[in-house]
Order: sequence, then C-alpha cells, then structure tokens
Amino acid sequence: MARFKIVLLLLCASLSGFAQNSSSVSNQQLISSGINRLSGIYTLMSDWDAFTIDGYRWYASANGLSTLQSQNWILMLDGQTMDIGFFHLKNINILPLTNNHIDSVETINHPELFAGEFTADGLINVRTINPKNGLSVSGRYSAGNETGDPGPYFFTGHPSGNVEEDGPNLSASIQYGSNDIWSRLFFYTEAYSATDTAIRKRNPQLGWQDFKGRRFSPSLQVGFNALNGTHNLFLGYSTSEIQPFHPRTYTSNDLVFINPAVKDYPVQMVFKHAGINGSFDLSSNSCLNYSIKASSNKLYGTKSELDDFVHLQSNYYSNLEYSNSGQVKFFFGTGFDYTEMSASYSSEKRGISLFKTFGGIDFSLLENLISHAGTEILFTKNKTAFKGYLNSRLQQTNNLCFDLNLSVIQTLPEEKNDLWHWIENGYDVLERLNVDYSFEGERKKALKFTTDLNSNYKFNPSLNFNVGLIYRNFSNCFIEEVTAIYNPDSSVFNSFVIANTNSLGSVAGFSIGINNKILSSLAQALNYRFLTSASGDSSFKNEWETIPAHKLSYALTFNPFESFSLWANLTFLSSVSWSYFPKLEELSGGFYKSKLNERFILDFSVGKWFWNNRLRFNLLFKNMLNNELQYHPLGAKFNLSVFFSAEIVFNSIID
Amino acid sequence: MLLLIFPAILTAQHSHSAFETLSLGINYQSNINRNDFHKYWLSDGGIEGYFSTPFYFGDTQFGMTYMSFSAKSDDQPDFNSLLFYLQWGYKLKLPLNFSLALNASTGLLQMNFDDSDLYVDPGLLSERELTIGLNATVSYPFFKDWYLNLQLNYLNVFTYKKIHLINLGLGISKKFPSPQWLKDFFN
Repeated sequence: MARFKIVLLLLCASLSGFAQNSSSVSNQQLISSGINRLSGIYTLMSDWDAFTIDGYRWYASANGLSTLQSQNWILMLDGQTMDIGFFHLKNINILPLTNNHIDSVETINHPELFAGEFTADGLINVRTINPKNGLSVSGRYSAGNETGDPGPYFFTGHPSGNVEEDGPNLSASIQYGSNDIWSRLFFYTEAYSATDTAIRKRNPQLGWQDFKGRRFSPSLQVGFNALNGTHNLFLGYSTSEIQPFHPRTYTSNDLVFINPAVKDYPVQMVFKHAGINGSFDLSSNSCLNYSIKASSNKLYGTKSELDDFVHLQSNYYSNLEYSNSGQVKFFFGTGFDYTEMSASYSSEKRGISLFKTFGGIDFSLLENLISHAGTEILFTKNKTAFKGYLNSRLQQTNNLCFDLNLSVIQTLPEEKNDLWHWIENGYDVLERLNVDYSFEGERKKALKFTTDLNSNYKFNPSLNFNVGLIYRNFSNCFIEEVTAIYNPDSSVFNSFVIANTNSLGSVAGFSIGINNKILSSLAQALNYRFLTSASGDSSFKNEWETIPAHKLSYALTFNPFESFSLWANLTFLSSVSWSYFPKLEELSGGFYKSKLNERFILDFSVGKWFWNNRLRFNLLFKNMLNNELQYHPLGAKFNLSVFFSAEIVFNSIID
Repeated sequence: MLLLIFPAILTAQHSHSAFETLSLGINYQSNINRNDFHKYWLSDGGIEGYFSTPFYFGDTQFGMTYMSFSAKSDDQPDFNSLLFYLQWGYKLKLPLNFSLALNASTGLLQMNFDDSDLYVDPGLLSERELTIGLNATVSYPFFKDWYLNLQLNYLNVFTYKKIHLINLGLGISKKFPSPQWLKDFFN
C-alpha cells in the first residue's frame, strides 16, 4: 500500500511542478510581513542573498549560483520575461506592480528550464492575483521613515544629517473579473531618498535634490480564455521622469550606483514593456505554450557632466514550446531573443541575436525514483552554448525524500548583456564616466557545474525538516576587479578596474531548514545556510567574500484571527568584506570600513483588517535592535525604521 | 511554551470582549523630567485626546497629544509637537474599584519649528520622528461610566540624539457600549 502511495505521489509530479529546489512566498506572507515595496521580498527569501546601497535598489544572488556582481537572474511576471535590467542594475521596484496584487512570488533556486528559460542564475516569478468577479477598485498608501533625524537638536550644538524617508507611495487599480476575461488597470507613484551621510559624503558633487527619487509606473494587464487556451497580456511602463499626484515640485531622477566608478549618478530610467504569453490546449494532455514581448530601457544622465550619456536598449523576445503530459511527459521548444543598443555618443546601433532550442523529459528508472532531464542549445553568430540539467527525486518513504539537481552550463558573453559586453562592442560607458580600465584577455564562454542535494523529512503534517548540500564550480568566470582609493580631501573615490575574464573557483555549502506549524494560527520557520569559496584564484575568492558565509533566519507568523496578524523575523548575517577599497578605514578616518561585522536584524510587523476586509493597516518596524545596519561598505547605515501602509479594497462593486 | 500559551489566552479573550466598548478621554499633560533637552527647551504643557477599546488581548488606544515647547535662548526656535500614537496594554483590577493599566505605545511625533528669526532649509522646519512610549495609568470610576485617570508617561523620541520625556497626565474618560456598526467595522 505504501509503495502504491509513493508511485501515486510521483505520478502526480508534473513537469512544471517538478522543481524540488523552488520555493514560494505566499500572499499571506507578503501581507503579514508588511513589506512596503517589491524589493522587500528579498528579506523573505532565505535561499537568496541580497545587498543594497541606498535601501531602494537591491542586488541579488540566488542560492550561490552567481556572485552579487552578476545580475543575470531572470525576472518574470506570470511567466512573462521582464527585462528590467540595465548594464548590471536590476531594480525590481521598476516592475509596475505593488505587493497587494501579488498572489505569490515563486523562486527557482537551481538551474532548470522554466517557462522556456534556463534558470542558470536563478529566477523570480511574480504571480498576480486574478481579480474577483465584476468590477473592483483598490488603493494603497505607504510611507516609511528611518529614525535618527536631527529633530530640534539641529538648532543646537548636536546637529546631524537628515536620514532616509520612504514615500509617499500611492497606487490605485481598477479591476474586472469574469470566467473568460479579467483585467487590471494600475497606477503607481512612489518616492524615495538616499540622503544618508555615507552616500552624500562620497558624492559632494551632488545637490540635495539629486538624492531624491520618484517613479511613476502604470500598467495594464488583460487575461482571457480564447482559442482553447489561456492568454495573458501585460503592458507596463515605469519612469523616473514624471511623478504625478505629488505635492513637492523639485525635479525627479533615479540615482544609480555604477560599481566600477564607485560613484552614484543622477539619471533618468524609463522602462516600457508589451508582451503576451499563454497556451493553446491541443488535446487533453498536450498544449502549446508561447511568449512574445517587446521592451525597452532608456537610461540618460541628468547632470551637465553626463549630457552625452543617453542609452536605449530594446529587446524583442519570442518563445514557443510544445508540452505533453500524457504517459510520457516531455516538452520541447525554440526561442529567439534580440537585444539592440544605441547610445548618443555612437552613430551605430548594435544588436545581439540569440536563438535557442530546448527540451526536457520525465523518466523513472526505479519505482520510487523519478527523474527529469532537460537541455538547451543556444546559438549566436558562430558561437554555441550548451546547458543541461538532471533533477531526480527519490521518494524513500511517505515522509522522506531526496532531491538531486545536477547541471552543466555554458554561458556566452552575449547572454550576459551587461555593461562589459557593451563596452566590448564599442559603447565605452566607462570612458564617459572617466574610469580607467583594462581587459585581462578576451571574454570567453563561461562554464558552470552545479550540484544540489536536498533531503526532506516530514515528521508530521505540521513539522518539516530539510537538509541540503550545494556545490558550484566556475571557470572562465568574469569578475570586474575594482580598486578604488578614497581621497580624503575631495571625499571621492578614484577607481581603476581590471576586467578579469578568466577567473575560476568553486563554492560549497550546506543548509538546514525547519518549518513548523505550532497551531493553526502560529507558524515558525528556521533556516540556516553556510556558503564559502572552496577553491579558486584570489579575485574569485574575494568576490565571494561579499556574500555572508553564514546566514540564519527565524520567522514567526501569528494569525490569531482572520483580520489580525503579527509577524517577526530575525536574521543573522556573518561578516563580509570587500577587497575593492585598500586602506579605506585609514583614509576615511574610520568613517568607511571595507569589512562589515556580523549583523542581527530584527523586523516586526502588525497588520489589521477592518470593515470586513475592505480596509487594512500595517505597521512594520525594521531593524528593531537599532544597530547601524549596513549591507555595503559605502552604503547607507540604516537605523530603526518604521513603515506604514494602508490599503482599501472594494471587491465586486458591480457584478 | 510561551508560544503555545499566549495564542490560547488571546483566542479565549477574543470571544467575549473585543471591541465591545469604546472609551473617549482627555488628559492634561505636564512634562516633569530634566535632561540635556531641557537645557534648550521647556514644555508649556500639552493636551491629549484619545479613544480606546478592548482588543483581542488587552486594550488598544489611538490618540493625539499636542504639546508646545519654548526655547530658553534666542539661538533655538520655539516649537510645537503633535504626537499621533497607537497604544496597547493590559488592565489590572485593584482594590476599591481602582484599576492599573500598563501600556506600550508607538507613534509619530510631528515637530513644527517657529521660523521667525532663523534662516534654515524650509525642509528642516518640520520634522517627523518615531516614538516609543510606556505608561502606567491609574483609573477610578467616579460616576457611573466616567473615570478619573492619573498617568505617568515615558516617551522616547528616536531623533539622532534621543529625546526622553516623562510626563504626568491627569484627565477623565467616558466608556460607552460600542455601536454595532463600529464593532462590524473593527472586525
């Protein structure tokens, strides 16, 4: 009988669902945690590492699949690829959507094929909530404030700098839902500032307005059932150029940190996206999945010293996949991706065309072992890259299973589509920023080998225990080796960069996790992860020193009543060090330090719904221990901060 | 063990009392402590208005306190403050109909500085900062549902150099049964 149950359990695992190293942040977690914008999800994803310089723009790394320097992880919205990145910047807050419209955030933490994309560096798929039947409207307000303002002491002998404020952030949506068609028209305007002394001090060339940012992000989403399938159209726009509905009148911009220049630049960033994805059912057990999109990113300088600094990056993408879920489960498909760059200082437009074919199949070698293998072959000009993976699940007993993921991945420089790729192709961005650099050899095809072994034991339906081992080996790995010297007289950094095209090394680690539902209303989760470089050259090892070797998080969620929630999260991050800044502490008189000590971060949130779930208030206290919290040696030092959000929802006001 | 006991108590309390009554109150607040802050400013006293209701566990209160501060020298401006706070606490019964409530609160202190003589960035003439407070309130029902309240209140303002205020408050409050529409709203 037990054997029959195991077989049944394995048969239930569909191709798309067979992702043992994926995880999900639920809508309830998003709401209970009180995070005020999308980038807050990084604090809820224990398998991912992330750092921020200003509290608004984050850099992420999935489960040791890449360093924090590479931002090549994939972002999707309902399975549709969203190319929000520019050079090596990937600010998830550009996505024109707020947390209250998210059903769940799915993360893929190991390499595999997901919606036609090979997740070599991990993936985040944001799934939106389908609108309720009829016409619904909603509005959301959020704002935050970091403690530590000067207050009345500004007028005494104890003045201090003003610190970060967040918001006001306002969003509104009109939604329509029915069985066959649903849509959401969404508007969002947000404000943020990066006025921390640590940022202002090293940017003396900037005025106070340059540290204030705004963004306006409308979107339209339409889903419908037609032609024997389901389809999802998404039109999105996000700009820092305009900011409607805001009382203050100063100019707006985005402030981006360019790592090789070790400097922040006021720029404008405009993102546009139009895409449709979906599936056509061909029979009861086969379908055709597709995804088509066009998007563009524009980045240009707002200061006179960057008046010839306009970049436009356009992307055209299509993907077609046949999937069979019959007796033999398999899929195969093909895709095309074209990215074009133009810049004000270059008369030429250059583009990269990437063609790919991919496929995967489920198979079972033993009664209690199911495997899934997939491969992708990518072509561009006269280059080819191969990617392959094998996922296996051994269901030892009803309660115990083992998951193994193996992958071999070749990555072409063209796939990275980053700052250095465009420099190699004639767009000398760093020259415009007066940064000296040199290439140490030609950029080559990178090779990565990954292994993930996880075991999961269910003591009972409410207690789950898992242990994992990870290993990654990198060769021909690209690392920008930044050397930045702080000048105490001018308070700026002078940098020189070596583009190391040939770094190699390996990282290894393990993880332990416990999920326990103590009561129906009370749940706790403990996750610990150790990750360190096991071998490699010095630049490889130095880069992995920027990721905490030890990461421990403990989360407690308490929902005693349907309309009331309490949430607390304690995170420990071990020390990190950045080799970029020699003698930093000495030259800055101790103000900046290239090594950040261990950090304990306690967040606490309380939420309450009113008026039969029409009105919700949430208070989030971040860094309750009020330690000076820093994620990057040159980044803001965050004190205790409080975030407030209010949401009003009128569902199905007209059926 | 606490993780198991606390939710059980909370759930038990909810079934009979949450949002059943509503109290409205007013207090006069006087600042009684002295520290670095008082080298520059002295409080002229303040007034607090609030409403409170039983919560799932304990009581919750929302209120506002207005207080003005006079500078001791012309080098600093006078300012007034408006504190918006949310409070939660637990009430203990004492002999002779007295009760003692121990409360914790968090709020936002809006400070508006007098700009008559000082030239500063306009953005600095108005500041907001987080506060955390603790207070103990002794109450006595002097007539039906009318209460006399004596309060000792500690307030920590999270400015870069923290402001610590201890206030003594005296006031009255009136308890009402909550109207059904309000109970529906809170639930």
